[in-house]
Amino acid sequence: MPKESVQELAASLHPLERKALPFVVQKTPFADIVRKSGLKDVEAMRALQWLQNKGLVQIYQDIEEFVVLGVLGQKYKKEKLPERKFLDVFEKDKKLLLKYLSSNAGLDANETNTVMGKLKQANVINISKEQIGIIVELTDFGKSFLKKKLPAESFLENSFPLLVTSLNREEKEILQSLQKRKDIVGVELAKQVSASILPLGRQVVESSAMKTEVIDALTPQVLRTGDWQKKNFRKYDVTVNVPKIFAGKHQHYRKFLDGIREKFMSLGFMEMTGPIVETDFWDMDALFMPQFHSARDIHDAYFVKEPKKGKLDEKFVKAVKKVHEQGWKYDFNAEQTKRLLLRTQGTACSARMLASPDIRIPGKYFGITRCFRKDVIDATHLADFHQTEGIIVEEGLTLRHLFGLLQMFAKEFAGAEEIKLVPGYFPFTEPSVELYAKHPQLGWVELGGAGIFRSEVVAPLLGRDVSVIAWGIGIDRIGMFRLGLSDVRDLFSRNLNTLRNAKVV
Amino acid sequence: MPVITFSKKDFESLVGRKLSINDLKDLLDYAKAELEVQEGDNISVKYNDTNQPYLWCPEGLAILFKGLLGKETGIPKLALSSSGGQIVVDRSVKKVRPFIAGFVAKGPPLSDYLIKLLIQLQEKLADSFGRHRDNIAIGVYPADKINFSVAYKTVKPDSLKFLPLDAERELSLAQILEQHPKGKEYSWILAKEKEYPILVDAKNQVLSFPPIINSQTTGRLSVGDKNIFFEATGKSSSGVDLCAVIVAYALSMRGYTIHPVTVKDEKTKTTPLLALEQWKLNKVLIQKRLGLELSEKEIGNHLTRFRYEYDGKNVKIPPYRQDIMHEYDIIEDIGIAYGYNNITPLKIHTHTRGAALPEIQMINSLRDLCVGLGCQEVFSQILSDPNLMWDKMGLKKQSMIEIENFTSATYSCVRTLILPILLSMLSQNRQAEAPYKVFEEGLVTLREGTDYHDEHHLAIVSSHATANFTEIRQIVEYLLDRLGISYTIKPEEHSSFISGRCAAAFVGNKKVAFFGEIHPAVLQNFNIDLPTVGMEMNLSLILA
Repeated sequence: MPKESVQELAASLHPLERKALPFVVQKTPFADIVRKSGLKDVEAMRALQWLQNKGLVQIYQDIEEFVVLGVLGQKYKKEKLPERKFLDVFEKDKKLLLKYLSSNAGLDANETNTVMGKLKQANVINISKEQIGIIVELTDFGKSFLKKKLPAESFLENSFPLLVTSLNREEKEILQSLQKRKDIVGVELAKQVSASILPLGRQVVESSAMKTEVIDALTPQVLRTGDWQKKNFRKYDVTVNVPKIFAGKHQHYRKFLDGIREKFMSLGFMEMTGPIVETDFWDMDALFMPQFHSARDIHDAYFVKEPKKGKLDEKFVKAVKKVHEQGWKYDFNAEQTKRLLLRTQGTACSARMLASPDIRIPGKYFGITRCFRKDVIDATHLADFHQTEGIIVEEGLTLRHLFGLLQMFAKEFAGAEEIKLVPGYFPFTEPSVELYAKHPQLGWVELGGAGIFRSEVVAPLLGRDVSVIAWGIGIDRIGMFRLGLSDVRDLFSRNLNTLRNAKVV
Repeated sequence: MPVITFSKKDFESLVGRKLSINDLKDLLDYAKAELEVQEGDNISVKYNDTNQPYLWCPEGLAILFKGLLGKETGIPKLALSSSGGQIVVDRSVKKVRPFIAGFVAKGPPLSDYLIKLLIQLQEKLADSFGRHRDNIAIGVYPADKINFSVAYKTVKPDSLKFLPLDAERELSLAQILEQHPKGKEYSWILAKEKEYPILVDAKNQVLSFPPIINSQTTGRLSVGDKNIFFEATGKSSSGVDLCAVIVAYALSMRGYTIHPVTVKDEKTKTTPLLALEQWKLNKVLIQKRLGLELSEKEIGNHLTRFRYEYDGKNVKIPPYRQDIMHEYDIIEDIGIAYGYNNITPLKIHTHTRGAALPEIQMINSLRDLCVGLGCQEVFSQILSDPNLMWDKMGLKKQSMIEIENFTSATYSCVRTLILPILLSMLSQNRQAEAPYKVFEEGLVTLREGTDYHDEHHLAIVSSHATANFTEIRQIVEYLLDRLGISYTIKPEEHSSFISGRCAAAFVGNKKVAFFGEIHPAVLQNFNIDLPTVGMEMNLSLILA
C-alpha cells in the first residue's frame, strides 16, 4: 500500500486501536495484549476486531492447554508456599529439631512430610537422626534460598490461566512436580484468543502517523488549551453505520387529516361537527331516509344500550314527519326517530348545520367526522372510520356548480386531473352523482358521492328551499393512497415501530 | 345492494343490439348500476339505487336501454288480455299481512333459464325491496293447476296441513315454522301472530303459506309450463302492487300476455295496476336544478328516452316506477338522459371565510408540544371494550355508552378515557425499543344517567426504566404553562395509580388533568414490565 494511504489509515485509527496495535506480534495471547495496552477486555476485543476488519491483524481462536490454579495453589499464591514457611524458620538457626520446626512453621503433619520430601530431593536440606530426635539442617545450596525464590515460587508468580506451550523445559518440570501435589495446579483445555500482526499492520505501526499524538474527541478542554493547533484530529470512518434514533412525531394519518382541514379552510369552508351518539332523526330521518326503507339496511347502525332515546326539538320532528308522510306515504313513527345510535354518516352533521341558527347563506361547510357502522373488520372495512362531508348553501347553485366543485376536489384532494361523474343514488339528494378519479396505477377509483339536497331535506330544517350542494368523500381511502397503505387498519396502526417509521406526507 | 346475474347474449336479444362490455358499462351508469363480474356469457350487475327495483331483471334493464338507445321510446306497452280470475281477500288477513296483488301470464313454454330468472327476480324483490319478505313476499305457480277463485285468509297454525316445497310429508303450518329450512329462516316475521296467512284455491288446495313457502303440489313451475299465476302479499299496499307491475312487464317482454286478476277486498282492485301517474313539469325548475337551458323538444326527447311520456306540459310516469316523489326526481332523469359527460362544470365564485372549529387551534398547539416532548402520536379507534376501560385499569365500572348490537366485545362501547388505549398499545409493542413515549388527542364520550356528551381529551404515557412521578408532573406543568393557564396541583386518589403518587391539576375548581405513576397491578394487567407514568387532560373543560 502506498505510504500516503498507510499514513491515512494510521491517522484514522480509533484510540483503542492505537493502544492495542503495537502489542500485537505473533500469536500474541489476548491476555498479554490486555495487560500491556492497559485496555479493558471488551475494549481490547473491540480494537482487535476493528483492526482485523481493516486488514491490520489476524485474530486466532485456538483450543489450548492451560495451567490453572487449584484451591491450594490460589492460597499459596496469595500467602506463601509451605516450603517457604519451612525455610523462614531457618532464618536464625541453621540446624533445627524437626518437632520444633514443624510447630514453628505452622504446618500439619501431612504438609511437613511433603515439604521435607521435596526439599530433601532438591538437596536443600539434610536430615539426620540423633538422640534428641530428627535434626534438619540446611545444605549450602539450601542456604541460598533464604534470599532467593524457590523455582515453584517463581512459577506461581505467573498469571493464570497460563498457556502450557509457553512454558520452557524447566517450567514444565516444575509443573509436573506441582501436579503431583494435591489441589495446587491443574491443566485444562480452553479457548485461547491470540492475534498476529499482518504486513499492513506492521507498516501502520512503523508509520510516523502512529508516533504523533492525535485528538480523538473535541472536548472543551482541547478548545480551552488550543491543543488542536498542534495536533491532528483522528479521522472517522464516516461511512460506518450509526444506530437509528426515534424522535417525537405526529401520527401519519392524523397529519394527513390536518392537511385536509387546512385545505378546506383555504378554500373558504367552515368546519362543522356533531355528536358521536346521534338520534335516528338527525342520522337518517332528517335526511329523508324513510323509516321502513331498505336504503337503511346499508347503514347498519350500532344502537345504544342505555339510554335508548334522545331529546329532539319537536318543531323539526313535526316538519320532517310531514314530508316523510307526503313523499313516502307511510305513518312516521315519532318515537322511533328518537332512538339513539352511533352516527353512521357525516351527513348527520350537515343536517344539524342546516337546522342551526348560526348558518350563513351563502355559506360553505365541511366536517371531518368519525362514523360507525356494524361491519366485520378486515383490510378494507372498519367499524369506526372517517367521512369528510360538507355542504354549500347558496341560492341558484345547479348541477353544473356541483360538477365544478367535484372537479376541483378531485384535483385538490387526490391530485386527479381526469374525473368521471356517474349518476348515483342517495335518499337525500336529487340529482345524485358519484365521483371517480383516474389513478395512475389503479384506474378509476371512487372518491365519493355528492348531489343537491332534496327539498324534503332542506325545507323542514332551514325553513325554506335553497340550493344546497352536498358531498361526501371517502377520506380514509384517499389517505391510504397517499400514504401508500393497502390495509385500512394501518391508518390507525397500534404498532410502535410502524408509527415511528411511517412516512410523513 | 342487490346483484343479479344473467346471460349477455339473451340480454342483447332483448335490447335488439349487440353490446360491447364498454357499451354495457356506459349504459349501466344510467341505471345507477355497475358491472360486477363477467364470466363468459354470464354477467353480474350490482345496483347502487335501491329505489328502482324494476331494473333488477334483464327485462327491466332492456326497457331502459332500448329507450336510451332510441330503439323504443315512451312508456312501454303491456300485452293485456281478458281477466285471469279473482282473489278473494278475507278480513282475517288485515291484522297479519293485509295486502295482495296478482295476475296470470300466458305465453310460450317456460325454459329452464327463464324459470331461473323469474326466481332470481322474485328473490331480489322480496329480499332487498321487501325487507327479507317481511314487507313483501312473492309466489309463482303453474296456473293450470289452480282453480280460481283463490282465497287469501288466515288459519290457526295447527288447523291445516299441506306438502310444502322440498319436503317429504305433509306438515302443519306450525310444523313448517319449526322444521322446514325456509320456515326456520323466516319464522321471525310471524313470531307475534296467532293465525297465519294462507292461499287456497276453489277446490281447497293450498297454494302457499306466505311469506314462508309454496305448496309442492301447486306451487312449483316446471320447464314447458305456459301459464303462470303470480301473487305478491305483504304489509305495503303500494309495494305489492309495484311488484306485480314489475313482474308483469318482465314477462310481457318475454312474449307473455297478461291476464289481470281482480282482488276482492274492502275496495276491489284489478292488478297489475297500470294507471299512469301524471306530473306537471315546471321548465324553470329544470334550469334551476341542472343549470341547463333546454328546449321543449329536447326535454321531450330526454324524457321519452327515459321511458316517460311528455306533452309539453305534463309528464306521464311509467307504472313500474314508484320512486317519483318530487319534480326534481324527473328532472334528475332529464339530466341523466342528457348525459353527465355532456354537462360543462361551473366554478363557484362566491367568497366565504374558511375556519376550523374553535377548539382546533389549542388541540393542534398541544399536539405540537407533545411531539416536542419526544412523544410519538397515536390515532386510535374510538370504539373500545368496557373491560379495557374499567377492569384492566383497576376501576369500578361506571355508566358509559355501550353498544347493544355489537359484533365483537373489542368494539362494544365508546371510549371514556384515552389512557387505557395507550397502555394496551404498549403491551402490544414489547418488540419496539424503549423508551416508550406516546400520546393521543381525541374524542371520548361520557354518560351520566340519560345525559351524554363528547369531550376532547389528551393522554400521554411514558414507559421506561426510570419513569417516575416527577417526569409526568413536569410534562403536565409544561403543557399547562405553555397554555398560559394558572393551576394548582393537589393530591389525588385514583386506583389506576400508586397511592400517594397521583395528583390532579385544578384550574379554579375544575379538575383538568390527573396524572401519576401507574399502579403495578395495572401494569401487570397490561403485561407491561417497565415503570410507567401517565396523564389524561380534559381539553374541553379547559376550553369551557
